Amino acid sequence: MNNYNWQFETAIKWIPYILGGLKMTMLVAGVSMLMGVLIGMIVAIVRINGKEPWSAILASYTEFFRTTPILTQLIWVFFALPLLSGFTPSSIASACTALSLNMGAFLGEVFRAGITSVPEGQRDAALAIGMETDKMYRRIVLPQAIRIVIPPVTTYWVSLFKDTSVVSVVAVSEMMFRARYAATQTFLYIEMFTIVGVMYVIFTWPQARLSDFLYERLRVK
Amino acid sequence: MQNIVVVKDLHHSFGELHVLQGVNIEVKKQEVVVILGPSGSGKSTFLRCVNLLVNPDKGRVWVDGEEITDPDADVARIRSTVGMVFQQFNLFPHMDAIGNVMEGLVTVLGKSKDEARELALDELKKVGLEDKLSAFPNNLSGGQQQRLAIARALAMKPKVMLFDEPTSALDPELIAEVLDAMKDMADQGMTMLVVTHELDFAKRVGQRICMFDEGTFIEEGDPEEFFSRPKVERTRKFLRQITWETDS
Repeated sequence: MNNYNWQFETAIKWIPYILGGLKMTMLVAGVSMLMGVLIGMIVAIVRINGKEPWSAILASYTEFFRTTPILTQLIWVFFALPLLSGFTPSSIASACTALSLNMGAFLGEVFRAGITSVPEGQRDAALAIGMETDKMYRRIVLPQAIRIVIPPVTTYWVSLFKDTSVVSVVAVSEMMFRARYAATQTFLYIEMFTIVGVMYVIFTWPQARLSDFLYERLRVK
Repeated sequence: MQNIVVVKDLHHSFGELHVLQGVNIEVKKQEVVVILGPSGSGKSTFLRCVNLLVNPDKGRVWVDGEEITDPDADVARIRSTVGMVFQQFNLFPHMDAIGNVMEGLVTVLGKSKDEARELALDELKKVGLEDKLSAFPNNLSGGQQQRLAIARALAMKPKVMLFDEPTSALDPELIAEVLDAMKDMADQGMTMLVVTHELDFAKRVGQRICMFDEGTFIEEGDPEEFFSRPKVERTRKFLRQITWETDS
């Protein structure tokens, strides 16, 4: 009891090794975010237009990915999909696919809410002065929707950056995977997970502040 | 004189509700037509059919000889010749005052920014907003917002202006400045279709008063005749109700 032998001095020697996973963390987060934004925009536009069966299909997709744990989604893509399709993607590709689909589901809802929250009167005014539908979206609806949407999107980005740690279970060599490896090598579980935790704080904290700044900045005057 | 707006046998339903039940009207050039009628009678829907913000189930609408209800019509271009002022202003909140007025000039009419700025400045002067050029809509009073909306519509040099209860969302002390701007416009010869409850405006500026009820026009006349000798009982009842007189 209470006689755990803290060995941070040994553990910190692994910092460069763990930090070596930062590139992979950023790659997985970056790719998943870009794909997520793309998927989200398609989902939002299709669902707002309401053309069936696409709208209903994407609604089920959204619900499915919003209500299941990321870990489950990852396991499906990495283990179940190859069994069903016979195609085996790399662990990095699986990780990005699962996180992209997950982000796409959430961002689709964010974008949909953003676009529909622009008041109907804005569309009326734009059309009444003679704008075509595409100009109405480009000049009036989307600029207002983007202001509404950017703050929550940055929050999702910060959250995604941390959530990439889940892909360590399919052996993608990002920060969390390396921390786990270091832990098994040294048996310093508490130290290693603390160190990697602090690293996530260091990298996400400025991003969270940037997100707060955008919240303040983009409030419609 | 030449008709700027012609509406023939307009019908429209929202679900079960048959809001327009065969509306007909002709509006001459430079005419100021005031439309009165109870809430929910379909006045706004009728007005929104004139520039096809509502696509009517049946009936035809011409603006200066061009049929906007024609399936092959260039609806956006015809709309650009019809100005509209809304009850809720509907200004673009992400653009400053002059930006709001320039938007249609640049995006729809394809004018250069410099030219648009000049034209926008003229319109803003006319409505007394020349000192608010870079103010954003949310920082303006209701009366200023509505005058800005009027400037935005007028900048397009429309052939006709539609007003959908332009003073109904305003505090009472801000109504006069908007009605002044509308009167100036009428004095300059603008063709206007005005849905409103402002009886004084109807009497002083209106050239023809049309009573709308249950999806159609039920009576019309020049202001003097309309207000002093309304022919239809429903009109008489409506006028009594909005002037807050006791039944006599």
